[in-house]
Amino acid sequence: MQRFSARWARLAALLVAVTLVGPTAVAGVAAAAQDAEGKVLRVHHITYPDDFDPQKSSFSNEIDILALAYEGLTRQDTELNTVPGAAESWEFNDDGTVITFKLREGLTFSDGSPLTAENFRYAIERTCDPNTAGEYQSILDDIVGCADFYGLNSAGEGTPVTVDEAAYEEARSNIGARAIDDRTLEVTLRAPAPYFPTLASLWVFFPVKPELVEEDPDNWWQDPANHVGNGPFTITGIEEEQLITFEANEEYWGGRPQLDGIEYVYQPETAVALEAFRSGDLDIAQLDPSQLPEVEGDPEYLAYPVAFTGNLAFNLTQEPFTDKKVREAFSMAFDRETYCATIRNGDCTPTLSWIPEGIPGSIETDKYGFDAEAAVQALAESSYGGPEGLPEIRMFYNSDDPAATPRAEWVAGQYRDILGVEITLEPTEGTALVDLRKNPETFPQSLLVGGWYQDYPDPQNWLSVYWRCDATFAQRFAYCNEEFDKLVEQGDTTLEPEARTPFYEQASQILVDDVPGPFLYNLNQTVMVSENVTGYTATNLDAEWPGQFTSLLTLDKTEDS
Amino acid sequence: MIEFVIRRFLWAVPVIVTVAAVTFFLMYRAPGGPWDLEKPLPNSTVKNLNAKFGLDKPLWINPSAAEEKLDDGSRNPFTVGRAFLDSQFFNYMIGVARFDLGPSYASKGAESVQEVIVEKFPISAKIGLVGIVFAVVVGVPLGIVSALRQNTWIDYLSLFTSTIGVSVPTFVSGLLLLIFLSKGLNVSPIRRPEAWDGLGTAYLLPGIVLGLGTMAYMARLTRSSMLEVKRQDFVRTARAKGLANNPVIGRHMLRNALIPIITILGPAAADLVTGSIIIESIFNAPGLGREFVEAIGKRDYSMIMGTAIFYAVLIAFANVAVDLSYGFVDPRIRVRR
Repeated sequence: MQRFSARWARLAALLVAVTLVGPTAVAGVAAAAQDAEGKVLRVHHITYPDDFDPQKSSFSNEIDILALAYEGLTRQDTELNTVPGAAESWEFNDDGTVITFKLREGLTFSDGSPLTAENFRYAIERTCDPNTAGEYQSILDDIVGCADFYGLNSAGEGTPVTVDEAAYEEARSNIGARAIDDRTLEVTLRAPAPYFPTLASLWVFFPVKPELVEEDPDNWWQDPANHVGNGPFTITGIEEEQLITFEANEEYWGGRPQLDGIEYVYQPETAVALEAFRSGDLDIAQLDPSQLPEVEGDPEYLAYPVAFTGNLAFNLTQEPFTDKKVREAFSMAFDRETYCATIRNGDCTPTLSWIPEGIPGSIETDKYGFDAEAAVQALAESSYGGPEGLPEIRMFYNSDDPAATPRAEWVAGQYRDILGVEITLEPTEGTALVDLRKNPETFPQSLLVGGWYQDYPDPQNWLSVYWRCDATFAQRFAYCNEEFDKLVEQGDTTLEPEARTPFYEQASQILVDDVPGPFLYNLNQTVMVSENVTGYTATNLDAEWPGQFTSLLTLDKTEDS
Repeated sequence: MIEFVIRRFLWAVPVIVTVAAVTFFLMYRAPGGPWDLEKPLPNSTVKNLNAKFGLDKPLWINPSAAEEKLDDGSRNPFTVGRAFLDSQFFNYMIGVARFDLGPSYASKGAESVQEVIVEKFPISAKIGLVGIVFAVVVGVPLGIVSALRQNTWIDYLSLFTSTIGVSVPTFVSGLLLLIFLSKGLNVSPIRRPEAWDGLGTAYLLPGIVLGLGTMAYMARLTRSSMLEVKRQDFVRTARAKGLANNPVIGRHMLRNALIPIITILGPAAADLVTGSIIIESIFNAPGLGREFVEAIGKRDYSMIMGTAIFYAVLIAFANVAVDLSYGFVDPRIRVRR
């Protein structure tokens, strides 16, 4: 017995050894070492998109792919000015209701076939098509007939509406977009829209080839061969959840990019990505805020502001936030500096106004900034007379992000310490929270955090789309100020660019004065960028990685050291 | 025997229908829907999307459609009945019966759920298989040795290994192993997509990490099961008759100790092959586990339903397989007619 058992024991020891050391034997395995040819920028992304069809997309990680392979009529430069893209010039008629784009001469798709005004007209039509059902249909509401076309199905209330062919065709032909010749696109607007050239840089204008799309309108975008675009790069490979590869487009009108290619590497686990960055497998890696203390002071760490403003949102129909003094108190009791620097590890920059710096219409202010004494006083001056008179305050937040709970607890703690207000925290799952925010009846009494991600760098997008009395967003928490509406209306219809800004600045000041929901911070994008990467400028458009929109031609990578 | 198998499989049908119904109605009770994005969509766009995916139909039954058919003068019970059942739930279940699990809403219908399953399940399954093989090949012998040499250093070592296996969460062990590999051996922690084709070595590490917990559980279970058998009379008899040690252990002890192990092996295997969001995220594996969990957050109804039904089928099959294997291990349990 002894002998046999000894044999078993040896076997067991071996097995334990395999368990503990075995994985090392796998070493060779994991080697990812496939050297791509030429200068290929490897960019890490956390989240793989659900779809990237230009006329259906809405998320930054979707647009990030499309913007490499396609280009709209216009684009932005590093200063966020709207500059010629596929169109070399554009012109409004006298009353600003018709805009005519002139395309560059000799434009081609990446396969060498000609790119004409008809392709852009098709992009508009496809966006407005109810059958496309893209998430950004309403962004083209300014174009005559677009809302009528995509709204065909909503004619009847509740029950499904079958649209007959004739009505569909009629609505389709009524869209105010016309290709006059190969190089001229005429767009008719419902009202003057001086921001339209900026809008024309958006992904919904990206030209797709009808013959590639129509065969399988829902699924065409999964095949790289169908992505024949007009951007500085072309998509050469799509491996779902893992890798998207691009190579330089020789046909691009602006010349060939410095890089030979770009690879988007998808890795949801940021700790793994950071390790890969450190070992030189990635040139740019996205970070999670929890990693920021670890990389602080690293010369390759980069944090830059992106066009998102976060605020503490209040339901203006619910007490006590119907009282402006209470809102003032909540704004002045919020220590934004500490919140961004310590609680969020520096992934945000404090702000007291709505439009981020660098976009027309933004203002500098110190009104209702952190001031504990003034906050206590404001609460005392409110109709409640102090913390004792307040009704119960519930603060909702999105609990999907594990980092959100400690943040919310800190905020509640601050309000308790400074104002003496007890706040009940309401952690809520993300989609459930979105559902609650649909109307003022269910909109949370207070919400950490509301806010706005810019669609295009124009104050109209920040102010009119969000805060006007008739805007979906403002209606949800019941903000309405007619004076504000008048100002943005003037800004939205004034054709001279410089003349518009003052209207928006005044409107921005009204938002600060009204304290509809204290403005807290602009988000920073936090990334690691290898010192080998050169030729990029981070703009606040770059929600994913620095230089993703404005530096594609100049981005470069020096030889690995 | 065949009759038994058929009967068992038929029993799986009501189970699966129940799972589908419960999942369906629970899912719709959850607030929000697939089009509830951070930036709200205009009503007409939501309607376009609902119409496109049949989400504008009533949830459960559709009496108004049936009435319409009756008003149109139709007296054909099939037509009217079909109109009555022209609801989200029944349309979905009719699809399931035809192996059509519907389009994935998150991808706006670019992919059907069965395509996603066919494409991604093999990856999860292969990781799970490596895990289960690892769990059995390491766990069972470890348990046997611990039982044979109870309270010796080898027993304690096995206890130590098992405790670590059970108590260290996979995201810790997985990350530690990856970082250790990349630091120590200069191996990239990020795999190329090609690595997941076939049954390459890329599956080893995630499989082992995934199987660690099950391995530990197997080891403990085998140990206690063996200890129990060790003291049985028939073992003493076998030894008294002068049987060599190996046959005693292998044929008499182990075979009798196997029943509890096999019992948990079925569900454990089903659990492992269905994928783990954590392992798949850390190792960047495009598996089904991630898809399932993410679908819930996105309210991708058809994906939630499809994967839930698929898992129900898998577990039902695993249980039938376990029941059948009892017969091979222990003739006393064999089905008699």
